[in-house]
Amino acid sequence: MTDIVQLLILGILLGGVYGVMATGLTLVYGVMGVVNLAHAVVMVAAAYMAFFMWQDWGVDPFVSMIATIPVFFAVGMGLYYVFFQRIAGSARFGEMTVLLSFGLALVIEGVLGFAFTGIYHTANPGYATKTFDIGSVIVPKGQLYAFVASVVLLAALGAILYFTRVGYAIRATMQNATAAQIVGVNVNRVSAVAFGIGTAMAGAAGSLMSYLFTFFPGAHWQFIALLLALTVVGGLGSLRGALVGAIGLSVAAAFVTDLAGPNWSYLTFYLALFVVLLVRPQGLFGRKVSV
Amino acid sequence: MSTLTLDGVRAGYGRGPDILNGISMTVESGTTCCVIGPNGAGKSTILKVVAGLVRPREGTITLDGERVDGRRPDQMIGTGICLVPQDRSLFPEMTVAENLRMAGYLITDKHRLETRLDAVYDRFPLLRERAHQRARTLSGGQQQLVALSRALILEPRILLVDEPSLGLAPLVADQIFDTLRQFNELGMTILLVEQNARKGLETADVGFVVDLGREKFQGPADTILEHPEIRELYLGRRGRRPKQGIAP
Amino acid sequence: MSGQSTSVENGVLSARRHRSVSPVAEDLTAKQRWTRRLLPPGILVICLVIPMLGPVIGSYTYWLQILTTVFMWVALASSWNIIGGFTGYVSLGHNVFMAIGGYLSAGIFVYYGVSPFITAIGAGLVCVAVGLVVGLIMLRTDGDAFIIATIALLLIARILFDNWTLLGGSNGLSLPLLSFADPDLIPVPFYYAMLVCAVGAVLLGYWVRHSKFGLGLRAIAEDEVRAEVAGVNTRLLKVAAFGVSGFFTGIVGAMWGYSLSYVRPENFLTITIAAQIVLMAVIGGKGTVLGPIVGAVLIVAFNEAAVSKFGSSELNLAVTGVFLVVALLFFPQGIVGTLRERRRLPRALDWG
Repeated sequence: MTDIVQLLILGILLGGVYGVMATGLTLVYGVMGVVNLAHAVVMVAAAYMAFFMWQDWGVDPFVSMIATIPVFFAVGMGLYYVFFQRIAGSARFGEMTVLLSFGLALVIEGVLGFAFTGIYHTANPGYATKTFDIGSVIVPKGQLYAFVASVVLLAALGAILYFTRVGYAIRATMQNATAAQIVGVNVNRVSAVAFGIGTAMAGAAGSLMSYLFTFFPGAHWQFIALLLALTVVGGLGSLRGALVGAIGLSVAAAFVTDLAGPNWSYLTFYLALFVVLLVRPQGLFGRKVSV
Repeated sequence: MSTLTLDGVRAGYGRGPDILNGISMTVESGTTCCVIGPNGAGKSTILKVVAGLVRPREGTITLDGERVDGRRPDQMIGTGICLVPQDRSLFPEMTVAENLRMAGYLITDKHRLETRLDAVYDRFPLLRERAHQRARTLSGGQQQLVALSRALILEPRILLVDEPSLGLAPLVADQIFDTLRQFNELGMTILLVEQNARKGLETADVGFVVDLGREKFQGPADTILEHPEIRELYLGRRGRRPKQGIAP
Repeated sequence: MSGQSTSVENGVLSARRHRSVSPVAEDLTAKQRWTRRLLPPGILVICLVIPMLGPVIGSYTYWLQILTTVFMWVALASSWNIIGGFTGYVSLGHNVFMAIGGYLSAGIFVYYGVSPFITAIGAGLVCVAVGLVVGLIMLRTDGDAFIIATIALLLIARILFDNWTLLGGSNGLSLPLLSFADPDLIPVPFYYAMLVCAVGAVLLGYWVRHSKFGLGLRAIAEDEVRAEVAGVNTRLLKVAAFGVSGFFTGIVGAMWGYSLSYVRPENFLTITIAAQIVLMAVIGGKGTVLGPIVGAVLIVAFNEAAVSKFGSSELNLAVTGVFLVVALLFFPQGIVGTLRERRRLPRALDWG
């Protein structure tokens, strides 16, 4: 009995972090129809930033978010204006943006590898290795704090989307871009802001990642595949789906790790992807793909 | 004043062929003009070009002498042009109230927005009832009402309506046309595209016949209904009004 | 009457010219026609003969290996092109087929002693079968989900092979080397094997492109909804394209593993390989027959130059990415595609 509770808690705590990572990705897809394969490498870049802030200046990873969030917001908007806006009108937009973001991911990974080599890094603030012991359930402090931070970040995102003018414009564009234009929304600018917000969330996630995981330049491929898998499971373009997918699959992965060992944990996400494609291609919350 | 003029407009989608082949037309201020013609004639494209969703490849579009072609759709609102697309184009997950508020996205004066929202609810009590219902759960006619109410909030100089009766039961369609008549009485210029030519022309002052992307004939709405050639081509066999009780 | 048919013909000819699929026979001068007919076989003959020139050329083994590498990537890029270029469904994990082919041949060789040269074709067919089965699942939705699925497939394969003890896990399998009297001759059979793969893949691509099958694929690439409405069985065609694209990819995998004398997950199942395949096809011109060849030659040449200058692999990765980004932003049709568009492509090279 305790075992199940233990696994549930571990799964949910990590799921919250995955949720932050995934909602940023889903936001960009929902607004622009772009599958941003560079989302995870941005997270890794942010992790490096947070790591060096911790190692060289003693800045706690949570505090580093004060830097990573705005920096990567700017990076996101920059990437949009320099690269994605250029191909906005082209015929094979979906395919081109995927390849484009793929190329960008390679560039960023290459630069990170060149600058920092392939050495594995991880930040080690005090709480990273401590735990709360409640009865026979072990709650890792680091993961609990990360979960709380995730909840705050997601709440902030929700507040932006539902209570600000820009947020309304973003949601409107996600639901019907043509209608948004008709009522006067500058879809181009909204796309840039959405890309910025999505990337900023990747930045925040990177700060968390710096101590939660051991990272290196090539680590992002595991993450992007995982994130993409759970956004497909939740339904591409559905924010709610991304969250549900994140927590659900994270819990499932925790159980798989317990039963079969850590090697197979990521497999859970990919297999779930294939099962969903087989059974309900539009994902749990997605609308039927209009063919 | 809000006279809309198209002059020699050529346009098409993406890199595809020209749908509009140098079309020219004028919609006089304060009138309702109905565009009719066979399928594929380019009727909807006219509206999309005016609204800025499709860029004209050649030709000009002017509103009261001021060039308005080549602008982005969201800039068109600023010039006073409002489009009600074929598929209503509402925000499906938002409520009726939220949809109407989004219509007022560009209105910065809160008081003005509130006044206009109240005006909409007064005119269409049905919408007040369903204010908190998600737009995608509304019936076709109700959605059309919300889409048209956007116009009331935006108070455009010219309203472009694409096939308002599409998918609606005749009785509901009548209500929609009635609403358009009310808008016209408020002083809005209306450019309307309608497959149901008879109904559309009944609501209009001027009729405009389009085929293969060019204007064919233009004239007062009731004259067009009388003209034998046009009747034959576009209104049905021989253009005779059906006897009562026989399906058209 | 004949006047009428001529004008119809003229209409058809001018339409075909406008669409520039391939030059119409009537269009070419005699000289152009002969160049077009002789060029591919000519190149082929040269390639066949090179190994026999042996001592005449300096650094013999180096050139053999470079050319072998070129042939290998030509085969890979051309195969990818069938699903990624002609059909418009980008596969970012195509080297899974390489791994399947490689491991299958290697496994049979290690456990049953049958040479990969014999089993390679079988490996290719198995890859086709796998492609068909997996494709049925992965091609149920639109292109976006498919791309994601191919990345997931690659990572699944990596995990599977890393943990499959029968196949050596992360250490992989070691294969006995070929032994000849003259060790310098060892690269030669691989040279010819890869040449066969390259020629085969290009011919396959050419056939697909100029067939009704290919027409259907192009319709899917352009507008899938409209293709469906027009009666094209999109599901069947997409899955078939995906399966077919695995054939030579698998054979190449088998040959490559043998030439390396080992198959390991970290060799076959990296994102770098997947990226290179895509890059070559995109830079050369995906959707054309000649494109992947041009792309493969260019990138292999560049890699050789870069490795001798820079060496480090991270920078290589970054540069690969830069090339891809630049290609997409400025000439998305690739070199061959852009040339064709601007009507600067020599007729002899316009293979479709």
